[in-house]
Amino acid sequence: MSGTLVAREMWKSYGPRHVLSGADLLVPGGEITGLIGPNGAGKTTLLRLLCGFLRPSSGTIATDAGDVARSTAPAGLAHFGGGHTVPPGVSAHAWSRDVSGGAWEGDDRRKVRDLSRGTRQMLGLKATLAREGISILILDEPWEGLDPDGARWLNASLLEKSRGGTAVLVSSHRLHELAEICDRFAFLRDGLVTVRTREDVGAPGGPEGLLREFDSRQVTP
Amino acid sequence: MSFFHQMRFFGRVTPIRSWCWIGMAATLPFAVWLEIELPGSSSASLISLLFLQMLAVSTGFLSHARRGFYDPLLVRTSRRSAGLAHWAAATLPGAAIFLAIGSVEAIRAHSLNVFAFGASGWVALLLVSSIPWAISARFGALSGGAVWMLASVSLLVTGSGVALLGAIRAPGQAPIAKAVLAGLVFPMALPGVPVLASVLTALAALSLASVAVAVEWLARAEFPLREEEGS
Repeated sequence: MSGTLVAREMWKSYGPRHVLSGADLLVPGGEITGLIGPNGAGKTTLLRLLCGFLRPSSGTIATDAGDVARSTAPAGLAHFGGGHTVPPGVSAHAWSRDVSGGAWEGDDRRKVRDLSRGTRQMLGLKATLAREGISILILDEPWEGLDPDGARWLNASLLEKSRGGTAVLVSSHRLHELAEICDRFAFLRDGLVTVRTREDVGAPGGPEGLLREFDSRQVTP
Repeated sequence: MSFFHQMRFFGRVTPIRSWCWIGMAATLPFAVWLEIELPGSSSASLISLLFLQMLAVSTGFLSHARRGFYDPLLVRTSRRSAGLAHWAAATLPGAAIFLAIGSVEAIRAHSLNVFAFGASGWVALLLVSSIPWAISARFGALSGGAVWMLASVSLLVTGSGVALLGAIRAPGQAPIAKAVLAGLVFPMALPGVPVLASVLTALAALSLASVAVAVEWLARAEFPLREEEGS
């Protein structure tokens, strides 16, 4: 399913502190956009704004179908915020069934709290990605806790989703993974987003360009 | 996501506490035993159930939403629908046991004219199922039931609650506002009492209004992840 997500002039403040100060972001369908920023830059806040869990202080979010109402998730959106957002008291099997209709291997009746960090992450990712009709996919630190096999599986799954027309947005500090699969990179700093293409940062050659861009004080919108 | 699936999701992610379940389930054999030993006295089990229902429905919403536990559901359904499904999931187990106890009463009495199935019984169930849920949705698990129970017990201990109870038990003799207040503070005293229809209507309206206010609040609430807020 194809989708596009557009955020315009997003402001978000907690008291006197501006987490976002007029950030613009386009997540085109059929592409993977990597969201990069230092700790505390507001990546999770931006992602949760796009999902409708938070209300922007001002600004709009739109999809191909039009503007998205405040406190509402865009239609066709799937989101996973990390293993810590999977409820610990639920069985892996039941959780997977409730979220996606059943995407977890075997008949794992163990409670989520009894799973390793990586397994919990895989459970959440598999359940999220198995959902049907996803046009926009937002993942927060999806490689966290994954082993190399898991990371390879995730990369292949995200590429497959984007080839199917899904607009994919992933935030991560794992620059190697981002350089491998992303078409565009959104750098979040000082409440603003700067977008660079794969070619801009020389990503086809590895993550060095990304690292330079990340470190650079020249990143201004 | 259908309403049933939403209810199942909430029932799994925010289940009723096991001690509440055990306590509520125990009221049913208790009612059977009472009806065998002392026919017509199973209202004691009904009162126990209403007490437990106050705590059972106080499952809390905001704290779980802020840990991201409801994310997969909240991106797929409207907040209002999610709020109502959360209320229904918290309420239904206690309501089912209430019906079962009423059935025990009705079978023994060979009549539907029993405490549970009277208008005051239904309103009592609605009160204890709605207001504590609405409070807990905002202020955290158990808060609604605990605050209500504390208020009832405090008023009884200080003596002022006894006068209020009188307002329920003497229909038509106390001002309506006082009778409504009495019903609000002591809902478990309602079943089996011939309460004025205007008082019951006001109590039912207050219950439904509390759910509506809570659902509307949830529809506008923000769910930042705990560590994210203000960081």
